[in-house]
Amino acid sequence: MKILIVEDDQIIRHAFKRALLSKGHDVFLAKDGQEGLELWKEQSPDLVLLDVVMPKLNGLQILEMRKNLPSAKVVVMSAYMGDPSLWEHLKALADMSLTKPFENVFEIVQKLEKLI
Amino acid sequence: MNCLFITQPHFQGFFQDVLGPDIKAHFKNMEFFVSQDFKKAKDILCQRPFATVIMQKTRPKDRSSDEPSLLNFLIHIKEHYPDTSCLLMAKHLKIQEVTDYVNKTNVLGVFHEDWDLEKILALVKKSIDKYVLKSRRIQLVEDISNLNKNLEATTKQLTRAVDERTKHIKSSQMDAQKKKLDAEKLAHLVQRLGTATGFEEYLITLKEEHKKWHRVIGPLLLVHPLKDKSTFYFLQGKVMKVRSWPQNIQQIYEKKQSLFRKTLADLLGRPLGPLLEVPFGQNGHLMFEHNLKKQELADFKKHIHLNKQGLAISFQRIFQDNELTFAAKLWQKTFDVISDPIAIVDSSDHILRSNVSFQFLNTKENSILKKLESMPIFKTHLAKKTSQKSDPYQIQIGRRLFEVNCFNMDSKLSLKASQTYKVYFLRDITTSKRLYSQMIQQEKMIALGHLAGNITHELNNPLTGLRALAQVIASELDKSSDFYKDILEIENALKRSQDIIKNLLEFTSPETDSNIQYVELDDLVKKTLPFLKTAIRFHTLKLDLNSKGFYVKVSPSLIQQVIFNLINNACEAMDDGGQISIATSFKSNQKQDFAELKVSDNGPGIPKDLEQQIFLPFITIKKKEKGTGLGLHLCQSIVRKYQGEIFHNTAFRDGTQFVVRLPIVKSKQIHQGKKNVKDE
Repeated sequence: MKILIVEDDQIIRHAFKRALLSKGHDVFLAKDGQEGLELWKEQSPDLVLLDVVMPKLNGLQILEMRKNLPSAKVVVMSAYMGDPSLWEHLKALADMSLTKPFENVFEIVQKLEKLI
Repeated sequence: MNCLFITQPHFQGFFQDVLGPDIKAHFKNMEFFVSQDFKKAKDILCQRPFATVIMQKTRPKDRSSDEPSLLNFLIHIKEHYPDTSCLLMAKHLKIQEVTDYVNKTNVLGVFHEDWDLEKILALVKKSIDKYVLKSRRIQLVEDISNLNKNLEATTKQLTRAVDERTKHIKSSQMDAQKKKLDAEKLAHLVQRLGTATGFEEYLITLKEEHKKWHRVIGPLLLVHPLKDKSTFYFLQGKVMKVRSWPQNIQQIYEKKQSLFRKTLADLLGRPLGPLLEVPFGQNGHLMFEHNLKKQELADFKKHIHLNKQGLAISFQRIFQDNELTFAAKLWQKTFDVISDPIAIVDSSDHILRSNVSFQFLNTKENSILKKLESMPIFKTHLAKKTSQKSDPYQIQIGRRLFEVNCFNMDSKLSLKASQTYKVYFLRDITTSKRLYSQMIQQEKMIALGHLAGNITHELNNPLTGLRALAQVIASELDKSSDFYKDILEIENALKRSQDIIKNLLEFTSPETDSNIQYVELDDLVKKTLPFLKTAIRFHTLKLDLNSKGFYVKVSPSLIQQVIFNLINNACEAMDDGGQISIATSFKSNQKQDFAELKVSDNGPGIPKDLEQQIFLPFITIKKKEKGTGLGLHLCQSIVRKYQGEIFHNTAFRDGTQFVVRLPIVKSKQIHQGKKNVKDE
């Protein structure tokens, strides 16, 4: 599957790439919201793993543009935030939500595969 | 002056023409007469006064039958004209006769035929002198008599005048006496009124002074302390009654007399008799109720008029005294009601006046004056400025903190010119200072919290990535190799780090209702302990967690704060090497099942005087900024929020024990509730 990872933290990107590649998926990486948006449009991935707090364009803004974007499953990801209503809102816009930190990266990969 | 010659006929011509004129020439106003016989001479003598009679003895043959003799004639002269002197011509006279005549009668002198004009003249002069003298004497006597009479009259007049004068003096003395008495009476009245200490004495004095006026019923007094209020004082028996009226009765008086009387009668509670008024200006009005008849009334009016000034002055004095007393009392009360301690102190550290709050603070055992004066800043300020107020400074008295404000008082008030008084005004800033430092502390905490939150977030990402990568690497390694073991170690450490971060995030997360979860109390305790590592470091910890399987519905972070607080308090209450015991269990009473947490220490325990207050805000026994005093209060409000309770177990004697109880949720509810728990 084609999976797009939009995350500003280098090591998380790297870790996910390695994990997903080892499971045979195609991985595209974006380090900020703007790049993420462009790649989404270009590559039409099957799944987008979307971090929320990012420079240039953040996760929420991108999610709100979802209708105008090629269809894909969206998994929104963030550390536990202060405002739960915001988190609820994000969860509603996405197909699945993840909170950092997570226990096992491979469990996450499994969940993502289930989604598609 | 007249001169008479009585001569023999043949001498007449001589006397007439020669001697007579000679004599006449020598004397003023002299008239002379001549006669031949004594009988005729008598007649002549009758007609006018003669000073001198010069005579000769007549010849018997010249004498008529009834003609007196010379002697007779002389005696006649002596008897009738004692002042007339006689001169005798001695011819035909015997010495014996002459002697006889001289002795018995007014014969002044004798001369002989061979007369000597000079001698005659001398004799005539002598007789004239004698006559004049005699008549003058008579005149004098008459004058004296007159004068005497005058004198008598004058004396009588004088006596009368003196009498009158005496009478007058006596009567004016009496007047003066009476006036003196009146003045004494007035002075006496004024003295009595002057020492009257209130309107009651005033009225009673007046009543007594006027007892003798039977028809005077009594004094009534109207006072207007404020412009639009009046007070009415009157005597009922020996007691004074007071009534108030919400208007100024004086104004009624000026408008309508009848209404005025009616108002007074209302206040008095009975009809009002005729009044004699003694107005005292705008402050008051004295009246005498009476039943006097016309004349008595006039007298009484006069009497009152004499005393009016005394009455007015005493009234004004009492009025002013009352005002002053009221004002003074009001001020005193004002100062006593103020809870801030206030005092006036002179330069020799004597407290001149102080309010109740100050007296409470400044006891015999504990004089705070030294403290007040001891601030060095204060002294320099005094040296520099003579300003009204020196900068405030803080002093600690017992447990309370005061801000001391010192005001310099104008020395004109004091008796000695060089004295300055200081007014101390203390404000209890214990609470506000605490509040302030607590606020600062809270701000710090919040800032710290934010900082911690930020750092946590920052750390979260790298740790997540690290662990994920470690897992990936582990999956690609030969499980028997050393590298694999190493990677596992790394992954473990990363997991621990993640947990710390997770805890911290939960702990510092702001409170919201959607945080509420079903959690085990034991779990919360375990999660909280890492935060207390440093605090517990020098103590021993005893854990006894027995509430597994029992869930409470709470916001985990908040309960963690409660647990943290209790354990932290326990640590801080003990010196190194203390023992802390944490136990959880399941408890049940008739109404409820609950999970119970007990945190105990073997420290000094809670002081008796604070026992009642420990859950109140801002109470702490920790030093200065270490304790905000909010801990237990916050714990209480958190626990109560979840229908739990928290208390201090006073039966625990080995130190301090706090107990928290939270209601347990039935298992059914948990299953339903778990759906609400956030996705994972």
